Amino acid sequence: MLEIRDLSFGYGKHSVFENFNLCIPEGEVCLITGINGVGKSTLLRLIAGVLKPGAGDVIFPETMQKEPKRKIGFISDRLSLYESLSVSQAIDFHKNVYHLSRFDDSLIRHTKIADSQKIKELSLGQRTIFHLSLILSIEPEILLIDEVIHSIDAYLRKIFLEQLIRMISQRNITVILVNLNFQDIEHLVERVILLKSGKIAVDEKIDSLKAKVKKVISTRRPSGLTVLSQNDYSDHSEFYIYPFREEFAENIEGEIVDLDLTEIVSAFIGGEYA
Amino acid sequence: MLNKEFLDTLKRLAECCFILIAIPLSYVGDRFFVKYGWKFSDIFTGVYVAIVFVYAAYSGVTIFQAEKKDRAFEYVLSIPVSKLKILKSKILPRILSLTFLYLLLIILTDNRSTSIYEGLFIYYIFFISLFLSFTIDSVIIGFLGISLLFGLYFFSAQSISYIAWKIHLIPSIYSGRLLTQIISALLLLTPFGIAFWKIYKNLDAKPLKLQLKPYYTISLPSLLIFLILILKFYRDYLMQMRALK
Repeated sequence: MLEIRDLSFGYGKHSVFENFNLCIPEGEVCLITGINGVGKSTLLRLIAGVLKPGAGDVIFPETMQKEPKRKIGFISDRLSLYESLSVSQAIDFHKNVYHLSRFDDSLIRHTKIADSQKIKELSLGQRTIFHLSLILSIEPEILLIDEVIHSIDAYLRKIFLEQLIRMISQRNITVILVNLNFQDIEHLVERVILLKSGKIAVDEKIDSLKAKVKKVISTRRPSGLTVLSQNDYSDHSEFYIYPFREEFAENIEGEIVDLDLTEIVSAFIGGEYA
Repeated sequence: MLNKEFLDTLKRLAECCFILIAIPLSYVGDRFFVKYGWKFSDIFTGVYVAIVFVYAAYSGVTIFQAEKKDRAFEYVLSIPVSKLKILKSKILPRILSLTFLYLLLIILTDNRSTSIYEGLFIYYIFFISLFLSFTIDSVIIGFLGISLLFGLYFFSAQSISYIAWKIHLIPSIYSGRLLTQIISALLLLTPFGIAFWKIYKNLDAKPLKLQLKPYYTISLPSLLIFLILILKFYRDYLMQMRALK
């Protein structure tokens, strides 16, 4: 179990988290979402140990407690690496640091990256795949992936996701994803956490969330229900309802529509901007 | 990690050695154009020492340059290597390269009596530059800061000599020069070293400017106290020197 206990963190005087708590069981694939600047990437960095909490703790599973960083794979949105190193030098550096005897470069070969190429010469997609292959080599128990998938092309995205799925199916790995392209990863995600003002606003298993968030297409606002957000058109409106229960259906005028993860998250985020 | 740092240091050292070409160029320039009649050994000592001083400052200030320039801070902070080990692997090759340049100075010049002071000063410059490395993003500001501490080092050493003579710890104002310079270096390095270590120990991926508080709470007040003391005693020292003449 990965546990975040009473965590507080801020950038200077700007507080991001105040007594934040979260538990993620081993092997769970969890999506963290929320509006820009809410602290999603900060939370990943706190778990990865690249940011230090002002107060509170990140408690790792027992198997990782001795040296947690050795078993954390972190792909940040900055894709931070020594840019002046060549690919082969970066691999050697990584092997030394993690005491790896071998490095499987088959993933890199897909992307036509040459050993002599400097990291700074790689495209964003190539860099993401290179980063993923470095992470795979350490066989992480916790994998943290920030918003990197949007920016890579369809072919590399497919490779990335195939590797991710293989890793999840082969090993009991905890995966925490931030605001990825939901359509691509919807089938992977088991739990959705929505952050709002440094707190957890929604924390649901994906099936439960899908049952609780519905779109009502109607000319009238459904009475007595919580509307997350709405879109108005000339002849009708769309109302995003949360929490929805089956018994509400009888009193609703209009069509009730199931939503996919992208629409659900958009409804929550749209509600925050409204 | 150590391999990478050794390679980086060797590159910098090669650049430094390349600049040493200024020595024969200065000699040729003097022989054919300026015609002051400088000896090769005079030019060598002056230019070589100046280049090594600049190299020492550069080595210290740029100790985290690769991480800053390459945007690799986050990567370094995420790998399972202790911060102490990272720092050691950065300092060791730089100290070795400075020692190499210093030994070369001792071998190639006959002036053994002054070279110990130059050696002390080389390491002082390196460490003060290292301790300031988090604060310095601009080369100009960096060299201004280091120049200030460069000056303070000598003024404080002389002030310490004066104090030691005044309270009868040394028989003459001229004696114990090495010891006073060592004390001066330690007095200046300590507050900057403590501030540096406090920042480095807690260093994370936050913007650096949010992590510089120890410089303001430790180094700056210490520097101000130091300046006041120097201003007070250095004047007395100068008066005493005039009286002795």
